[in-house]
Amino acid sequence: MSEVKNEFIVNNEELRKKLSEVGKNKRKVDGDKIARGRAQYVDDIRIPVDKLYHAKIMHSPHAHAIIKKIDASKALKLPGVVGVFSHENVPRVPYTTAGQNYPEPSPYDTVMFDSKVRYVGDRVCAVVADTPETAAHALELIKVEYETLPAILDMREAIGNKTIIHDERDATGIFDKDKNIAAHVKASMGDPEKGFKEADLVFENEYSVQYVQAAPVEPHIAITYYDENERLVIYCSTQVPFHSRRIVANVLGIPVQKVRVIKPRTGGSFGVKQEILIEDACAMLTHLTKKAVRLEYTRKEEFNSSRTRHPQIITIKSGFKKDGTIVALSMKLLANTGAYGSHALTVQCNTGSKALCLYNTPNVNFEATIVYTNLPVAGALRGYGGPQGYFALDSHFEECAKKMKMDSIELRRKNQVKVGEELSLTKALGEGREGFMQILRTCGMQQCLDKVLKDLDYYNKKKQYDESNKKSHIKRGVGLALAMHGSGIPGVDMGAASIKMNDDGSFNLLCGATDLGTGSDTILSQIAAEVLKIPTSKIIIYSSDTDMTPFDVGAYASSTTYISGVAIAKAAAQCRDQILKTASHLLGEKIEDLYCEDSAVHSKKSKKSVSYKDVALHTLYKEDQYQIIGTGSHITYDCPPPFSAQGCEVEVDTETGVIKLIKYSAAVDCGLAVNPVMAEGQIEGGVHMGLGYALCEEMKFDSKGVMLNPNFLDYKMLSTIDMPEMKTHIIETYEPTGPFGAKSVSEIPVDCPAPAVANAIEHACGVRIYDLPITAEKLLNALTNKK
Amino acid sequence: MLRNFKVLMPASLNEALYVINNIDRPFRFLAGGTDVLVRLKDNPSYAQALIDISKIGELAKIEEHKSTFVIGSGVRHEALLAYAPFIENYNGLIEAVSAIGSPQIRALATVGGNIGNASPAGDSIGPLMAFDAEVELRSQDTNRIVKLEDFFTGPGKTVLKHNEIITKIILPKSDSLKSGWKRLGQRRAVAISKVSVTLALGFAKHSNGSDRVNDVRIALGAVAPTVIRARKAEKFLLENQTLTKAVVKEACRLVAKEARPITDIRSNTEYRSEMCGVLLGDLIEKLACAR
Repeated sequence: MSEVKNEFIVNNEELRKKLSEVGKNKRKVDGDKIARGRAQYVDDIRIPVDKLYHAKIMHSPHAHAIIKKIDASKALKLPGVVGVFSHENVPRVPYTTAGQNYPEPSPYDTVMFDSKVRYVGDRVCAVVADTPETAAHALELIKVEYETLPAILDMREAIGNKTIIHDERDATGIFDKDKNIAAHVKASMGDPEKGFKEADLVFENEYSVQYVQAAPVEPHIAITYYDENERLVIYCSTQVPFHSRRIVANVLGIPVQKVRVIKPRTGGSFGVKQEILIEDACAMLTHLTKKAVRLEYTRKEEFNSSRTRHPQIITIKSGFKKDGTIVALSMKLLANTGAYGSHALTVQCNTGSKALCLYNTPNVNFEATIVYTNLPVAGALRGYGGPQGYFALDSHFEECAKKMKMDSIELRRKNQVKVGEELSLTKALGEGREGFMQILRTCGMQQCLDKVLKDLDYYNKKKQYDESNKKSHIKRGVGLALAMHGSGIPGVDMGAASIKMNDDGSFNLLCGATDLGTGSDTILSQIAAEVLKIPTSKIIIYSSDTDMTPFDVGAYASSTTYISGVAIAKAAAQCRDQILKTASHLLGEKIEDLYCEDSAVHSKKSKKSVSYKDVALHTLYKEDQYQIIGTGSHITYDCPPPFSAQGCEVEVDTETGVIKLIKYSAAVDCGLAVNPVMAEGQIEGGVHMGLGYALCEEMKFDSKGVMLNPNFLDYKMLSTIDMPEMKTHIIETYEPTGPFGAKSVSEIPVDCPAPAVANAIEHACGVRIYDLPITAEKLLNALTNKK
Repeated sequence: MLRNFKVLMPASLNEALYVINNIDRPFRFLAGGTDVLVRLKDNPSYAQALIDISKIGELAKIEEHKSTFVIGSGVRHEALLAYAPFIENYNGLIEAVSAIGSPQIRALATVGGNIGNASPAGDSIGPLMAFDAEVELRSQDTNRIVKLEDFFTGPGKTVLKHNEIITKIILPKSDSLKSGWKRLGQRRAVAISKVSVTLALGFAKHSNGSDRVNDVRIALGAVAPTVIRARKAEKFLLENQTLTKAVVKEACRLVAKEARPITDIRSNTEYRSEMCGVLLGDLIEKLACAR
């Protein structure tokens, strides 16, 4: 743990009250243009070249096959076709599509076009043509001969299977390719064996979670071209422009200097755009043809060939003393990474480091085995392993309490990690390497829990329904779940920004942090404005463009507010100090006697003041001219967890198995909310996503690995009218290492809904469902078996 | 991608009939477009031409006759839902049509389209079939009336000939019937029914003064290759006349046996069969109590 060195501390109510820009519901800086349809997304970009060409990818129809021959002769004769590209004419460079820090902790098991396909939806070849229609037509004319291979479609059959999915020689970083194990991790604290021996009661359960997708409204899209300086420009919908630049340059074999990645407005991403999914191919096609190329996935391609949440089978074992004190906890995961190991190790590490730190257990054991299958590729997705782990953990805790005849809320309160305690596994489970031991500084969990209990009238309802449920086949239940998450990746995530002052006292804020629709452009502007003591409207933010903005790892791991936010505050502080220096000269007073407020510098002594505008005009035009400009970088070894308690009331019809959501309550301790309304939006969106995970979302496959529901007709996400009445609460704490006390809010909300719903269902009808999603069919079946 | 594709927009029914009599390529009608456009996007070889009949005014009327209502095939669901006599006396139809898709879909989709699409899960079909509706099929030279129950031959398959158009749905007046409709879906809107049940009941006074059932119609959706009438359960209820607990239970058992569902991505055989019985039980209770 580093010493707290942050001059932007808000650690009490008094300081909180002095804030004028941060902690306020400022309008979204891009809200107006988005609402009016004027925002520029990748597809709206008009590039300065004569002609834009279009690429289409051919995807594998087989789960596992060797490409024997690609006959593109007919396609190449089609007027308008520029070229057909495959393993035959594209250089072979192993890499990972995971847009992570260098060196990426994911195996280099992917090449742009391989002579082998490993899942239905894998890349076979690409066409570049003058129109999207010609490109699609050309694909139909290409004849591909395959030699099909046996496929592994069940993660339980991967280890020791005769079929080896990654038998290529040039892949590196795979844990054990002969056993189809992409990654493996083991970690423990204390002495788990002894802990279980000394426990009075030991419980064990197995849980499993399904394949789901993030399904952002805007699919993956890229436009690439060579500019007049022979530099490759990539417009793409990405969370990680700088990782994208580095990885694409590597795959193309050109210097990073030759690549510029620009992220315009983004229509949602949720983790699946932390992936170098299509801009690598688009860039390569531009590189090989020297044409400007556009490549966009259809919804069907998104479902088949994008990224998913890792399916897992989770075994949890816990040991308690008779009084309910937890003394040992073990979690074993088998996870399915699909055909490639993108984020294989790190997502599963996160399942352990998040879920297993919530309850303070002296003896902890964690083991994850992540296997390859011939199914779609898993990757980063909001929560990053958390939703899987918490579904198992919170379901398990509820069951343990029931078996011990204890109040499950009290059991949680008793064992939950407290301020001042170490988060046991954070050192052992870092970002694919050893991490940094975290000590909890702030925690609003008990207050979160109180809010949710009150909203649901939990204890009264619990008693009331226990009675009323005996009389009817329509039964009600209440259930709760708790979670903690992280804020950035300690020691890894770095954000940087620069700010310069203009003639009129406005400021350009350039930052690498990427707004994906999350609102980070707004809250980062608020942070800069707070430091500079100006209205947020005086900030002109630009993000992100690898030529123009300082480096930032990108938007993932709930890092933007907590990490990039401090970088921006530092840059703003440098500007402020320069302003004070010039003002001191202009006013003829000492800096110590000056302070900034309302876009001006004031003197405490003489009560004189000078406006920012006059300071700017002076520095730019009058005397000893210079540019007021500040830069800031931020890295931290802290990772303060946000906390959430969530609960719901459900209605179960035991004749049909139909589950109705009646009421939902979510409370989150995200530190200080920089923009409370937007933070609430994150919470509500996360809950919506989590409820779909709990009840209906599932990618289904036939016996050959073909996805059966690659469209929104058959892949069901909850619609707005499926959402219950919802109460959202922000519990403010003041995290000393965050900007103005902020932690993070974007991922934590998605961790709780599945276990909260499962627990409420169990209360309603006495049936515990161990595998998601909890469909009517599954529940009715379980109810029938119980009888 | 659509290549060599035609869209024809006849201005009248006669023009439309002429067009389909003479067209030389596989075509589909475009009425509301809520299904055909989705399918074409997914599978360009679904049709090589669209015949847009959405602008033909004579297909978009609802008329009241002495003993029937005649619904033009181009009547949009939204219009059907607003038609007062249906709201008053055809509760099952209203409930079913209100559940189709979403407000946006109901504003475009047509009654004829839902029938012509011939999905076993088509939500308007069950109630129409329960009310013994018929369809008028016209070609340039012929005009025939077919019972809705005889119209479907399989999923997506009907007796409609290539040169025929569904022009009207003829719905007998049935003021004495109480009806209701229930379904189960994967979520509350924009969801294809996993199973749906329509029930229409007529009641009369028994010689001993109690109520007796004198008319029973049950239609099942999404549990067979086409929407079907559950004739055995209907017959059983009619014969027993009085809706005792035991009678209702047996009817539910029978209806579950009459269903012949499949397992697909939305649900499975066992669940669908069982739910036919559960939903029928709910509907009987609801209609019997509502009297």
